[in-house]
Order: sequence, then structure tokens, then C-alpha cells
Amino acid sequence: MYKQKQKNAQMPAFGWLFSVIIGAFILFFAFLFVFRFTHIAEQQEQAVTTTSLDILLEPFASSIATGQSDIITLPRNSKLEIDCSYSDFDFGKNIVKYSTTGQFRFSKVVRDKYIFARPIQKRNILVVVLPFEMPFRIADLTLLIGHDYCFVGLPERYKDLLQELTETNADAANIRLEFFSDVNDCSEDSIKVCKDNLNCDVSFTCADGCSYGTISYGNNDKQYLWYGNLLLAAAFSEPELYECNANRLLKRAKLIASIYKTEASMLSSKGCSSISGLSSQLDRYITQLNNIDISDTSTSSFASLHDTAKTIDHINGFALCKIY
Amino acid sequence: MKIKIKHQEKVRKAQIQIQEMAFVLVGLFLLFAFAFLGFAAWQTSLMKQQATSLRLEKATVMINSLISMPELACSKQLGYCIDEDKLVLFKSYIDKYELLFKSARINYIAVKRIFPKIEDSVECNSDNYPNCNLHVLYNKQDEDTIIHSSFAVLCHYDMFTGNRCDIAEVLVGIKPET
Repeated sequence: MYKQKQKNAQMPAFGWLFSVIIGAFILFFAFLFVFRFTHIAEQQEQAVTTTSLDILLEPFASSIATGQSDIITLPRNSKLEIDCSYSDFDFGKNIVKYSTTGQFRFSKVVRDKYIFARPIQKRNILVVVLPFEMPFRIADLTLLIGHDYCFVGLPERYKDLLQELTETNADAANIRLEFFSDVNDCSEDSIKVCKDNLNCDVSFTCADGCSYGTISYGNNDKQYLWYGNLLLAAAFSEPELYECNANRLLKRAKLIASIYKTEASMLSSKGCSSISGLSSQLDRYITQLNNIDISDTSTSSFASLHDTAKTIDHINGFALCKIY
Repeated sequence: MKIKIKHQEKVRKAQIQIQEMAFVLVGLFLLFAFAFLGFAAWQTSLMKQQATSLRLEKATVMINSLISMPELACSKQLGYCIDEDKLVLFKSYIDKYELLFKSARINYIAVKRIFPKIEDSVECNSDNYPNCNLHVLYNKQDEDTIIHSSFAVLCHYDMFTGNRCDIAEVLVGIKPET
């Protein structure tokens, strides 16, 4: 009788203990599930973003070729920012920063691309890839367009190039690119890029038939030099990003010129006499590149570089053994 | 007494039915578990196949991008090909490009002349090219490296014949993502 009573007294204690253990298990698995699910959701978002930004992030591989455009569609109304860093020891890098929440949680370093953009908060972004030649091809410029732009007095060749490249994709990305001769015709909310008008958001000057010139930004006292398609890159970019990427490009140009210079001497010694003058011109070109400061206000350094570039192009054009 | 026996029989019958149901439930559970495992294995192999073909596609695009680098590409006049004269010179500048290749997980780049065929494997340098068949541009490969290849035209300037072109295989080693 006493034993039975003792057993009955122990039963509720065991029941409680059992409930607590099972409850703890259920809670543990519930928390584990929630944690895993959140983690997987984060990974999924990152994977979707990486796939969307594949054009920018994949090294030595791009789904769009030079002289083409495409649209990047991000998962949600996202924020995209491009940073740039440059050192004397390498080609520098772009850092692609992306966020959907406000804080940049996702960033990736891109070393083989030259990405020009303003901070963008938009789902559909227009991407244009242009070649940069000075006078030989140096690299491709990747322009990210996420705002409406109005160009005033843009030279015909740049206007035609931009219109040809963006005519189908600009509408799809819901981006308006306007071309006028008077700034008053521009839409109010567009970023205004004007020739010789300092009252616009971006103002540029031209030299030698708009082969090169200077560019300045409304809120920035600094002036920068541009050459060829770099005008468009500068127009769609922030000043600091433009300066950094332009310096990276000039460094790449120097290295390519060194390779071409050695090749010109080698081919000349192999009997291709028509290229004999090229080596010395490329030598001059490298020296001139060394003296260029992209944030210089005077275009004289670019004027002499442009002359050398024209001479190089002339010699190469008539040579039997063309280098580029 | 009779009632007690009948009750015991009922209890036994119920126990057998419970056991039967438990066996059926265990059987069903095992059946679904095996079906799920089979499906998961099939999906995994499908994903692996897709990953392999995607990796191959990316490697091919990467090789094409490397070939069209201005440091290696032929002149516009010749079109899409590798300039062997540049290739020989590029070797001495390769350290400047190391970070660039590392960021793309590239740890081996070589160009192998496959036509005209040279019997022995002769590594090229500025003195013996084009009478050689292997240009090793960059070699930091390890045991994990997966070598991908693509074919390209390899051209050089010849003082007697002008530009002379051969067929080459471009080999690129990529370290897989961990």
C-alpha cells in the first residue's frame, strides 16, 4: 500500500520532466528551423543577386560584348553602388556594393572591369559596354545607367553611338535618354549633361573635333580630362569613380603600349621596315602618359598625347605588319 | 469465467491489429523514405550535370575573353586570333596580371600549337618561336586545377610570307570554388 502511494507520488514528477524535455526538443528544433530557413533565404537572395549581376561580377566573362547593351534586373527595388580603388602596384579594382535593406551587406571585388555609374536605387538597370581606344583598344567601359539623362550639344558620333546601343533596352529599363540643343527642353528630373554650360549637372568641353576635352560636375570644383568614349563614361559616373577608373585605364594603356613597343622593335628587326617609327612613338606615348594627371585643368597634356596617338595610328595603319 | 476468456481474446485481437498497423506504418515510412532518397539522388546528379555544363560554358567564355585581351589579340586586319609575337612578349609582363588572374581563379594559361604538328614537345621562347609548340604563360596550378581548352588561330609575322597562321589549343586551368 505504501509502495503504491510512493509510485503515484513519483508519476507527476516524471510527467513534468518528460514534458519539459519534449518541450525543449520542440523549441530547439523550431529555433534551428527558423535559423536555417533565414540563413537559406539570405543565401538564396545572395545567389539571385549574384546571378543578376553576373554581367558585372564574373571575371573574364561577360554575357554582353563590346558595343552592346543589356538590362540587369535585380530581385527587389535595390540599391547599387560602385567603389573604386587604385594603387601603383596593380590595375586597381571596382567594388560592387548591393543592398535591399539600406545597409550594404553584399560586396564583391571586380578587377578586370571598369564600371562607371552613379549610386542607383532601381530594379531595372541599363548596362552599356563600350570600347575604349587611345588609339588602340585598351579595355571595355561598362556603363550602368539607372537615371534619366538629358544631353545638350552632345557631338553626333557619341549621340549616334548611344542611341544605337540603347534604343531597344532603354525603354524596357524605363530609362529616358534625351538629346537636345537647348537645356530648357530637358525634362526637369533628368540629369543634365551639357556642352560648355556650367549650370548643368555635368558640363564638358571639346577639343580637336571632340576627340578629347574636360568635364566638370556641378557640385564639384575639380575638372577632369576625358578622351574618346570616356566622355560617355564620365557623364554616367560620379566624379571620384571616374577619376579612379580613368587612372586605372591609363595604367593599363601604359602596359599595353610597352608590349606593343617591344613588338614593334621586334617586327622591325624581323624585316617589317614599315613599322620602324612606331617604337619611338610608343616610347613617347608612354612618357606622355606618365605626365598626365586626369584631374588637371589644362588639356595641353592630352593635346600632345592625342597627336602622338594619331601618329601611332597612322604608322600602324600603313604598316604591312599591323600591331593592332 | 467465459466472459473473462472472451475479454482476453478481444484484447489479443486488438493487440495484433495494433501490431499490424504499426508494421504497415513502418513499411509505408520506409517506402516513402527510399522514394525520397532516390529522388534526391536523381536531383543531385542532375544538378551536378548542370553545374559541370555551366562551368564548361563559363570556361569557354573566359578563354575567349583572354584571347581577345588587347595584350594578346591580333590586329583588326587579321580578326579573331592570338598574336604569337605578343604572346612571347607577354610572358615577361605576366607578374603584373597575377592579381587579375587570381581574382578569376585562373592558375594556368598555355597555348599549344597543334597544326602544323611538331613531334616533340618544345617550349617556346623569344629565340625558338615559331619552331616550337608550347607557350606556357602562367603556371601556378595545383592538384585541384581543372584544365579547360578551346581552339584558336595563332598568327605571327614572317618576313617572307607576311602573316602566317597555325592552329592552336588554348589551355586554361581554373581552381574550382570551394
